[in-house]
Amino acid sequence: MLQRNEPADALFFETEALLLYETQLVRLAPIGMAIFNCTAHPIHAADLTTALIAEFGEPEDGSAAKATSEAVASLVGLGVLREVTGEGPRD
Amino acid sequence: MNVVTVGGVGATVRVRFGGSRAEELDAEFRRIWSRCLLSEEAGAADVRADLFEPGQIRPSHSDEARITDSEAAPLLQRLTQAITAKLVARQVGKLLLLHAGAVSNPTTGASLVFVAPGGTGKTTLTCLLGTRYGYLTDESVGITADGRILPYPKPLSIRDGSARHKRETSPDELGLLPAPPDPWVRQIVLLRRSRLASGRASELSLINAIASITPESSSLSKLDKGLHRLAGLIDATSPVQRWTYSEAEQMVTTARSLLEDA
Repeated sequence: MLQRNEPADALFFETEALLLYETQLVRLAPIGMAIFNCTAHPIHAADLTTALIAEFGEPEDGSAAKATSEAVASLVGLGVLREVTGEGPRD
Repeated sequence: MNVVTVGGVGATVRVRFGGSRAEELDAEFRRIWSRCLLSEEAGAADVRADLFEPGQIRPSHSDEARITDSEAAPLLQRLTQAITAKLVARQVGKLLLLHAGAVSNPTTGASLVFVAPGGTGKTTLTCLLGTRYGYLTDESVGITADGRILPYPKPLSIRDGSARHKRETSPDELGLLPAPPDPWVRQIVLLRRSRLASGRASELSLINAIASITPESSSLSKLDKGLHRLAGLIDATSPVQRWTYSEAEQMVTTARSLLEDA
């Protein structure tokens, strides 16, 4: 399960966003913004992948699950997302 | 010895001097901090600075509350850093705090705020512009919610030729004009020094401006809606400019047009 860490403040632009955390500013591209928007509450990685496919379509090369996993890993590293335990709703 | 209170960015810090050369240190401090001196009284200090004879003490020492040395120049430099850190810390969560220099039109109060990391030209540009425009600070700009600047006309760290240490220098000694009573933000500028640049001003998009300025702010995340506050300030003034130059003189005409057209 994945859930976002709430920033101290955030600004959303047409295709990008700025998230202000305690020690850093994170700039999100469209996929990062979509992941941020989907993770207000805990969500399974598979459900997140489904949501991203619905918004952006299947990636031209490689799998959607792999692309999602890489984006999630990057956002976890930046402190935007965290892994949480517990059962969340499955669609 | 009494405690001396200095003010800047809308806050105060109390300093006490000690050591065998306390009187010498006290006199020099008052001279170079003349524009920030508020009062003198008995009581507790926030920072203590002790100056001794060479060889009288072991290697220089400093922490947040106490600075000790046998040389005046490095002690005064570290004292400035300690005072600045305490003043800024007191306004965290209250003001928009930027690592920036600032000068102001003495008549209108319209001010140029130039943001840059340490060692990238804030003091040089301040010295150049400050003989024509009011000196607000060369290091830390505190901005209220309505865009007013709370001055911090501290001494400036200037390197004298081949001197080992920079020397804390009074703005009076450098001929810098006093701050006008109500300075306000006319224009924010990001400085970029480039050895071959001929001097160029370009406008930044709002997102690029905020992304560039935020790392040069102090504890923006502690300020309620800090990003919105910064965005609102930029919206209320004009697009942030990036100045790319090799010598500060290249940007004087641009600065004048901004400060005198307001």
